[in-house]
Amino acid sequence: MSVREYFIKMAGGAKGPPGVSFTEIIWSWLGSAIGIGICGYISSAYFEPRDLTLIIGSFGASAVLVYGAVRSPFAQPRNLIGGHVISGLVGVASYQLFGETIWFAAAIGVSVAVVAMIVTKTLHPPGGATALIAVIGGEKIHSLGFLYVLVPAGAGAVVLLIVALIVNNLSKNRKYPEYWL
Amino acid sequence: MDNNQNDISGEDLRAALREVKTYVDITEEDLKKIYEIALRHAKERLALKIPVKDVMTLAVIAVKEDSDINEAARLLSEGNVSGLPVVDNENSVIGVITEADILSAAGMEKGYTFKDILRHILGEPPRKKKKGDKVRGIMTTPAITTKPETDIREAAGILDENRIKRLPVVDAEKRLIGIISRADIVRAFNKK
Repeated sequence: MSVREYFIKMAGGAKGPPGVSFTEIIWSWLGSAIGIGICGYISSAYFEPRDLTLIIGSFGASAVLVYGAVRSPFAQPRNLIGGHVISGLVGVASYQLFGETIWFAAAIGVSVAVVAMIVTKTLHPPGGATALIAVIGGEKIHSLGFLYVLVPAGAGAVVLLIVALIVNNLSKNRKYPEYWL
Repeated sequence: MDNNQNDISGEDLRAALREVKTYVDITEEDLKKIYEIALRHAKERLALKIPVKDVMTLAVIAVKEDSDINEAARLLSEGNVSGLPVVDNENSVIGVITEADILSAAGMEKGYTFKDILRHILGEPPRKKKKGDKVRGIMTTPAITTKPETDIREAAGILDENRIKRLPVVDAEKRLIGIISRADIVRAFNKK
């Protein structure tokens, strides 16, 4: 590969996919609103009073996938649940091993989570955030220890999944999931 | 890239992506690349396919269902083959007769000695004519046949599964148009 070829790659050249219809946009909005809404409500009503939480930042990214790009392999149940659980596990382990140097624990947590998701065929981009939050999420998250893997990571993903199954399949043009495992 | 009728345009891909209706996280370029690779694989697969009609023997010897067993035995020995398709008056394949059928039929007849069977095979008149000495009575039915368009791999599978050596090839009306043997298939692969 010449230097010229290297820089030509940066020019891109492909076209982005076409836009979607208004009804598609409405379904994406409705799914995300209900999914994140329910997660947040359950969290503040039942979990936060017990010093727990059911909602983390990475669920915002999951909502994009499971309600906005339902056909994507990233959005399928295996990836949604598996990605959050595996990344949560890697993130907590990384914090517990290297937590004294946060930047290092964060780098190892996210990078190993990416690899673990690829290896287990559960690649779910928000999983990277789940691993990162396990490290940089503050005292409240750190005090959960490995419980973080189940609550909020696993349980929150399950709530998003249930809402996705119910809402996405109400749409004429949608079918969710494409596959389970 | 070579221009041919299989080339797909950007407009085709955009139309396909729109038709899917939901958001698909793939670019037109990638979709085109995948499409072209898949098409190449399909072409390679089809190029490997050899239809039965390309390798079958056309000058096929068959025997009529109402022929005498002696006639069948003579055709088998003259044609130097171990089995023959049996056809009715419309040339439709209704069964297959093999050396084994003839031997077992002859062997089962009471009163025939080994010498008689040999005489039979050598085409000499049998000691006595019996009822049921027609091909119809001893042939194996129904005949396992194949179509001219079938891939020879599939034909090989049929031969193997049924432990047989040849397959009569029939047209849509079940009329005999050729025969394909194990040797024909081996030869075809060797040429390839």
